[in-house]
Amino acid sequence: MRLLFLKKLIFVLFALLIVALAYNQIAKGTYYFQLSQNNRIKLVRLPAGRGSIYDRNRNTLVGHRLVFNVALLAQEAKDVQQVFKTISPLVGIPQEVLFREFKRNFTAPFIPVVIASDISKESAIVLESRESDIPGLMVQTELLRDYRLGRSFCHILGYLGSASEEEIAINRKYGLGNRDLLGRGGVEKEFDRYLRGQTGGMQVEVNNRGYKVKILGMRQPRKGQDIHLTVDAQLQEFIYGLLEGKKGVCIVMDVENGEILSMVSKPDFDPNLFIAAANRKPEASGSMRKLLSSEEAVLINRAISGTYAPGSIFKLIVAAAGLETDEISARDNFNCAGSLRIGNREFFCWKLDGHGSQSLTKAIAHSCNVFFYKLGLKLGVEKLTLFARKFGLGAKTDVDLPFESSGLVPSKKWKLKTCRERWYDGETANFSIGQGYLLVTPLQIVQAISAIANGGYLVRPHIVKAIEKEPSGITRRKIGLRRQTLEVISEAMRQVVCDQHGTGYRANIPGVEWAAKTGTAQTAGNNSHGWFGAFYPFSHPRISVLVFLEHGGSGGEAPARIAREVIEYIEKNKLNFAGSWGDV
Amino acid sequence: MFNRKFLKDFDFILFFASILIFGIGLFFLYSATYQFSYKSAGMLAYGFLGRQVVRFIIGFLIGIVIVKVDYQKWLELAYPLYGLIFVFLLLVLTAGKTRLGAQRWISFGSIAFQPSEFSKLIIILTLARYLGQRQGIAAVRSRPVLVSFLIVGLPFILIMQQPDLGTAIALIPILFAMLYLWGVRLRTLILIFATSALSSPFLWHLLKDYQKRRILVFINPNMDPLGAGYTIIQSKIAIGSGRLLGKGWLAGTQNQLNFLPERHTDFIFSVVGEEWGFVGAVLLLSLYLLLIWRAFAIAQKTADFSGRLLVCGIISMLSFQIVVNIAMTMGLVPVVGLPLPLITYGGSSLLTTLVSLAFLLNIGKRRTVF
Repeated sequence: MRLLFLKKLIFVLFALLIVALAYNQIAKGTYYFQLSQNNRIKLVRLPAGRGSIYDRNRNTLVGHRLVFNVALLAQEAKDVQQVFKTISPLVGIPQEVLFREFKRNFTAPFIPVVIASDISKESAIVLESRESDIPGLMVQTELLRDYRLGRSFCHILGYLGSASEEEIAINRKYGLGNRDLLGRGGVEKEFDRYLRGQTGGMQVEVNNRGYKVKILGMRQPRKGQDIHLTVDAQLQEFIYGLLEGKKGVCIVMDVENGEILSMVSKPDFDPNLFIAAANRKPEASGSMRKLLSSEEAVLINRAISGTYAPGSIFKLIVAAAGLETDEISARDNFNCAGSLRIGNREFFCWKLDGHGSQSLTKAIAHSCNVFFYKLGLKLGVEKLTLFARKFGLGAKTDVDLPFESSGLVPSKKWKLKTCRERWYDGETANFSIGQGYLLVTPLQIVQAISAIANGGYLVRPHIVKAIEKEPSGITRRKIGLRRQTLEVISEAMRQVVCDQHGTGYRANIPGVEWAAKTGTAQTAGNNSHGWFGAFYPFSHPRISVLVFLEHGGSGGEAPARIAREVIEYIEKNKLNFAGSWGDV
Repeated sequence: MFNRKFLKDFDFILFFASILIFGIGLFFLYSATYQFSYKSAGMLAYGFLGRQVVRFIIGFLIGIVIVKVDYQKWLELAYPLYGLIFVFLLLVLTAGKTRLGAQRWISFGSIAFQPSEFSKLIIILTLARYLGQRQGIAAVRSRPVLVSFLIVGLPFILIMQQPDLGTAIALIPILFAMLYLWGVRLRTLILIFATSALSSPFLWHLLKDYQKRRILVFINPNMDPLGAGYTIIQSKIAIGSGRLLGKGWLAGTQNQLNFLPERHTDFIFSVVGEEWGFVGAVLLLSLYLLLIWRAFAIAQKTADFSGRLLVCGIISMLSFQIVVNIAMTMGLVPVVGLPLPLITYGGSSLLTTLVSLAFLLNIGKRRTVF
């Protein structure tokens, strides 16, 4: 019957509907349920403040300053483009740029979107007065990272940069978001996870227009931890001034515990520039480009990342090797005739008419090359390699800063492997006076000199004294040198400064007892690298000072003068680092 | 009024199934509208729910009149009614009110109604009248088929012009089902259908832009996720997210947070699916099925040919609306704007459905007339 056919047809259609319902609600129910949750729940990030950084005397090095931002609350703005058009001349930012920022930072209509950050106070006042007639417009305040002593501390502190898409993807579960900045160098990078804090979040139920209906859940943001450095800001600023216009490094370190009291690397930059650039300040982009394209390697912290030939300063280690292995005693003399023939090549002393017969002490004070050629050849390359390593060369000091280089201590094996050639005696001679393959970082030399001063301990240099209230530990390792060895070398270093013929006599300060060693490393270029490493006071050494000038000429000249001024400054201002060593 | 004679052969299952569906409908109408009823000031007095109940009462009273009077008398009125509705459909095009991009309403004072809704039932009556008087000649003559096409075709064109695509399309299964029951061979009907389907590319040009877009979006909803495709996507999410047992009455997030557009009219089934889940959706479908099953029973019992044609037309009308409306909410067919009988908010649709059901009850009572 025809009616029956119609009935069957309709029932089949109904059955199909039930199948479709079962498919959508049961088979794919969870999927659609998740979609409906995504529809209604929006996550709002609550950014956490970054920790501040202080010097050893609790002076603020990195804090925050109040800035004004222009934000737009999309759900109140009737015509977004119109708002941009109105405020564009007031903030001096093109309309398209405002719109681009708006799109980039938009999360939800009930969250104000920052469209221009760090506007001038005058603009802020003008805009604030117009808030009522531009719906959705808000002038907000924000705490922007502020490097108070930017330039002198730039390499220690590092800088911040916008997180890349990739980094955001990796760190999303840790709350890293679009406008977040990450530490890119220095303490900002090394201690980023402490400084950054924990981003909070809010789960907001929204309706179809994205308007807030209610808050479902909330996690308060946790501010990042504050970091206290071992550095003395006053000293740092002073040394920064001394190095004005120069290219090089000055490090002051506590010889006992490895606290870095000052570390200046030149040339320098202004870390605030990166903050300005991250906030898309137009005036920052030009300076940024210049900075990044500079051939001076401005961003490099030469104190830990630069590797150089140490020159004569290495003789201290050769001397220690000689004394420790009994290849020489303090009473032994070697004659210097101005040059030494090794194989068929003549190796010269810097004093071409020769130093004559002299003891180890004198040889160090006068920095005689021939003496050390002879001593080095007597010791052989293996022992030089061994002692260079004992003094921490060729390995990272493990300082708490990023991008540290380990330098290079050559050895027979190394030569064979990299050059496919055997080691020559001439190379041993060069090695003995800190030339040739040997490469060190200024910080490694500070560590080595500190070891001589502190009774033979290799202390780990560090720059962070405490994170919040948690002090960072001191690690040191005994090199295993005889007391006598250290006394002989120390005395020789004393002579460098106070002997009239000492290479560091220019650094002599009447009434102040201290010790040093100069170094002048020949380079491929026209001007030598100048080194001057010292410790002070002589009788109870507390600090070591190292000055290194890239292509700065003889170590006994400009570097020695700078080191002297540093010591004088410490003397004059009675900087007593022990006094502030109490708890932070 | 409800004496024993009246109650004899009264189809209580059909009656109560309808009341139950309407009652469930009220629950979801409330869920869909209680949040925004305060927004339009006119609704403040009695809200969507109140209006719908008033309409139901009016429809119920009209229904009593329909049931009381032998349907044969109503069939005699079919042609004049057809003429009347034709005039109204013309009036809509010339003096109608425009809502949502279509001219569908005619207002009398504060009451607006959609002639196209009523036209469906009147066309069924007309066809039942016309074909009922020509029983048993289907095999030999094609003239009645042509006339039937004309009876449906003229209002079809006018309704398309409004445009009210859903109602216009709903006329097609009515025509085909009634012709089939009348005696036209299935093969012939399929042939006719195929021929007109092939000529549909020409009809494409008659469609308004928004209708073309709807059809394109049906084929790929993600083509326009924030425009025409938005409704389909949100509706599918609503139904699917209801899972087995639903999120609970008044607790559907898609519904309550306003992600679901048109949810008190064409997409009210999405609210049912979201808040009562698969179980609730199947329950509702079962009630509809029960209703249609009773309607078929009435058709089978009726000895009168025009009566049977009338029941058949009403069944096709209701079934088509139910199936297409629900399939539409799941994105199985294009969004054509067909109401869900007894549930969708809207007076014309509710009145038409109630009167149609009254006709079913009427025919059911009078099976012994001959």
